[in-house]
Amino acid sequence: MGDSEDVGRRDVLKAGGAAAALGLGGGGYLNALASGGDGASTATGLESFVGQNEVTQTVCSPNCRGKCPIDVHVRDGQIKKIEPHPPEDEQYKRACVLGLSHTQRVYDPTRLKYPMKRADWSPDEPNPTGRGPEAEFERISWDEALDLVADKMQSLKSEYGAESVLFHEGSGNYGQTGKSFKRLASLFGATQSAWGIDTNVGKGFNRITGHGAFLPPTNESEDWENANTIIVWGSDIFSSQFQMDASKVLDAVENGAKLVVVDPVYTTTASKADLWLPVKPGKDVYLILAMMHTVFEEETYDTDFLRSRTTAPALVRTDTGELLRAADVSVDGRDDQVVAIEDGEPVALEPETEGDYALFGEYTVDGVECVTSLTKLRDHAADHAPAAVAEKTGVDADNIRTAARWLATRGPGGIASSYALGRYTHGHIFGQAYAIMLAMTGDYGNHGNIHAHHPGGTTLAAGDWAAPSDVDPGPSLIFPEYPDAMIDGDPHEIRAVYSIESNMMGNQFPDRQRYQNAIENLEMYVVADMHHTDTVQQADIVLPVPHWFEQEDIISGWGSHPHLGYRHRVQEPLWETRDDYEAIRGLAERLGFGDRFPETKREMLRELASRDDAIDFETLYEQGTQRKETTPVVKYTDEFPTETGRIELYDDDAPSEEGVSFELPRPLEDRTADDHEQADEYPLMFMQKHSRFRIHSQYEMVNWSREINPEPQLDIHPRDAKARGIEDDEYVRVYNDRGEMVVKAKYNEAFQPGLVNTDQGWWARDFVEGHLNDLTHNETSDVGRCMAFYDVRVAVEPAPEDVDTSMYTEGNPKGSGAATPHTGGD
Amino acid sequence: MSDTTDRPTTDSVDGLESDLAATYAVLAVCWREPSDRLVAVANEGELTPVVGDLDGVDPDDLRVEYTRLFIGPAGPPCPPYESVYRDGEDDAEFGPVEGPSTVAVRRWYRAFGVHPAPEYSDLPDHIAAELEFAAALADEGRVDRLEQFLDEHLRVWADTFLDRVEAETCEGFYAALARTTREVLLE
Ligand code: SF4
Repeated sequence: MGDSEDVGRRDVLKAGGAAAALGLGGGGYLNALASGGDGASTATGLESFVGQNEVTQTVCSPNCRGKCPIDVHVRDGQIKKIEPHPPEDEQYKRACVLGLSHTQRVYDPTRLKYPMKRADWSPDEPNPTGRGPEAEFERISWDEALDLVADKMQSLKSEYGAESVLFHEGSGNYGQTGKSFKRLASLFGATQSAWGIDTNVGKGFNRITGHGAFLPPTNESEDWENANTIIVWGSDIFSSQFQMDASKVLDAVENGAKLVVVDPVYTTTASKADLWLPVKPGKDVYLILAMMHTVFEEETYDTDFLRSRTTAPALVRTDTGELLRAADVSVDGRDDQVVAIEDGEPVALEPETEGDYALFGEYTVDGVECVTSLTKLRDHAADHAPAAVAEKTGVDADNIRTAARWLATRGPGGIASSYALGRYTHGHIFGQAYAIMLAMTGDYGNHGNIHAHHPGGTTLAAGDWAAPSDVDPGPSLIFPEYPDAMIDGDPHEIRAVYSIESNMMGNQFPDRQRYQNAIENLEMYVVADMHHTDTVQQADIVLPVPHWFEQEDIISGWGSHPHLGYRHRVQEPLWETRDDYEAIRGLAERLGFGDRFPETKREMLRELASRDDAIDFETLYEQGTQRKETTPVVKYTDEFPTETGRIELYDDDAPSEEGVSFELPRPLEDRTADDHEQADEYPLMFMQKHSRFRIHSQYEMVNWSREINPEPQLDIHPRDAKARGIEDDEYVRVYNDRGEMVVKAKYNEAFQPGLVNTDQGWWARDFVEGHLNDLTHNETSDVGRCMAFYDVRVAVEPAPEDVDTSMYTEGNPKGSGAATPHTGGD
Repeated sequence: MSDTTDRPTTDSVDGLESDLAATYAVLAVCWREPSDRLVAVANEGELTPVVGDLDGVDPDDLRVEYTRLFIGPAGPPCPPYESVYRDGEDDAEFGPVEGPSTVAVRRWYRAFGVHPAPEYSDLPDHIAAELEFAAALADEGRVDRLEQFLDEHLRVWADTFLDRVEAETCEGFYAALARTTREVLLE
């Protein structure tokens, strides 16, 4: 082809007839393009950037410990570069390589683009079995999509009640939309999701201190440099998704702090520690009881703290095991007050009072025999001396003593506990136990105290926005309750789900097969996302969400740093993606609640910000971030919000599980127990660590990280592997009574024998066969009610000869050789 | 197509300035989401020069296939955008959308006084948009510039894209459309 002479020899069809039939004459062929003007004011808005450089400040906000303000550089209408943006308080400057790789997500050609409907779904004939990877879809307009969803919600409401519609919100984003999602759910009366992941440890801690939901509050990380001993318990803070505060731990170490790491895995963090305690999976409560034993034995407990801020001196009746109440005996005081002995006399114990209370001993008050709470605890710990638990826990007795000694005697410090402990069925017991341990060492309310592996950060206080005070919201269900509700109508029927910010069917929920069976009972599954996740695969209605750079929001610094951040819009939403808020408002209008939602997202954000006295919308908008000054740096400085106003060392109102009652932290194990009934058949414990390459299942599609981390693998100690005839890099079948997966085995001595691991965050398409959540289970403990992802047993064997591993062994140099390896993700 | 040897004419073809313009305009329509009119025209046999003799086109099948190939939600296996095939890193299966070649396409549009229409929600380097632009150049008689645009854009990436369509599709319509488009652009 070349000059005009040759044009048309072969490149012209007899297309005139078709053109005429299609009505293309006279400019009628223009559809995508329009003539006139230079396009500076087109709907895409991109034209106006041509030739210009712009920097827009925005925020990255998956469920990591970053919530990083970032600058996005745009040239010629294209996002070119992403850099960290210093927040108002610059000591919290941050960002990781995942955040800097957003160009790969925003411009991913497999992003969701248009609202879609499964082709064989209709409100009256939902055909739930048509869901899954093979389902066919039709593009529909936003109006059609919202009409379908609203109409179906109304018809389900009249047939089964409003609570048959479940509004499920995950943790894929930390903006304000969730509050409006809940607002609509409250107005409609829908069932709302309640958290059933990572709540275990906080529950136990809360029972003793009155504080804590997921993990307990901890001093903001700027204060961590004041710690003299940091025990990182079950967290790879230097490597996994929690890395943003790791530098503050190193600051403390530089200042002379001792770093202890308790972890069954020799993690990056363990490799930096002064002392590593390689605990066996699930034996953490034994270990911390042994530490208490050491503190008792060496009498290094903090007497003043125990007397003034805990119920250590409170008397426990020998006859009933209950706390002696002031009103029960001739002591001046109320029924909710406990009794201590001061100068030989019983006194009611007030919060925050310093008295010379007896910490140990047996006393008789009005003829009732009692012992102090601390005596009870000491006696309990006496059964768990370091030497007695060394073999069981896998930790050397001297090292247990050293760690306890450092924490108790080197000044302020703490235990940076993690969610991992709550991923064992009875993980709440550890929460109770370490709350007590830190009470013994007096590590509350001081600079340098640490109670969790990430700080509290801050959120926007929006009052009753999510649950308007004039309406009666519907019930809520915790995640692990979903399958029973869907399958058996227990506690009530769920017939439809509207899901935002969640890859619940891929990464976030265990026992994948059971959840897939459960959703077969849904007549409508609406999923909003940016990417075609494993959850979107199951949707009947797909609502495409713009990339964060195409949204406006106020981002909370929850679990991270004490700022709110303004997410400025960098570019207009691509294709027909729409902010969740617009979808929620569109539904609200159709359901008759339109007047309860401001017309634009900006107005909604302004309204919410006006409800928080510590935040000023204009300042936040202009500055991009605002430090919330009402967020205290040092936590636990006030009276504890318990009945006694003190940390309750001995809980006479304790729950019990499987015949074990938790007045004191008594060890109880599920599948980790050495004599568990499945121990022979499935001898290996199975963990799914967080990876530095993904935040949960977000960033799965980022090519930069896939180059280094191309496929799921099974970390296995060479000894366990060789015993099964498994070579390094050989594909293996990992299985138990629920399901199986096929992945590549990787010899890894960092994992102790008896423990194997596959990092979480992979999508179904990444597995040769199955999925890691085909192995995990949905059983929870009565107290914790929290999914126990790590309390899982498996067996491993070489993969069958005929397993097809070509997706990784042939062709694609990245190894992600599925037919559409790029399919997006959240 | 072996017999498509007509020279462009200066006679108006149903309001279009040339067969060449008509050719690109028709191809552009065929690469858009199938409208009822397109299906009707196909079933009347008017699209035979483009897609050959098809034994009837079912509108639902065609739409579902178009959606699967080019929109998603899974994949799609054949993103219909220039930058995806030109702007990727060497070993990446797909490049990004809104890449440098998208910017270059926009510059072409601006230079010729056109721009993405306000109600158009797709990207400017979509195959249908580029073909539409080719039709516009042909219609204005800017055959030299048309050749330059084809050389700088459509001819550079269409082959890879059309290969993917041919490999992926199970609808005769798209297989034939891919073949014809290749012939028109490249042979
Ligand atoms: S992924 Fe998390 S840590 Fe990384 S930049 Fe985003 S918010 Fe920050």
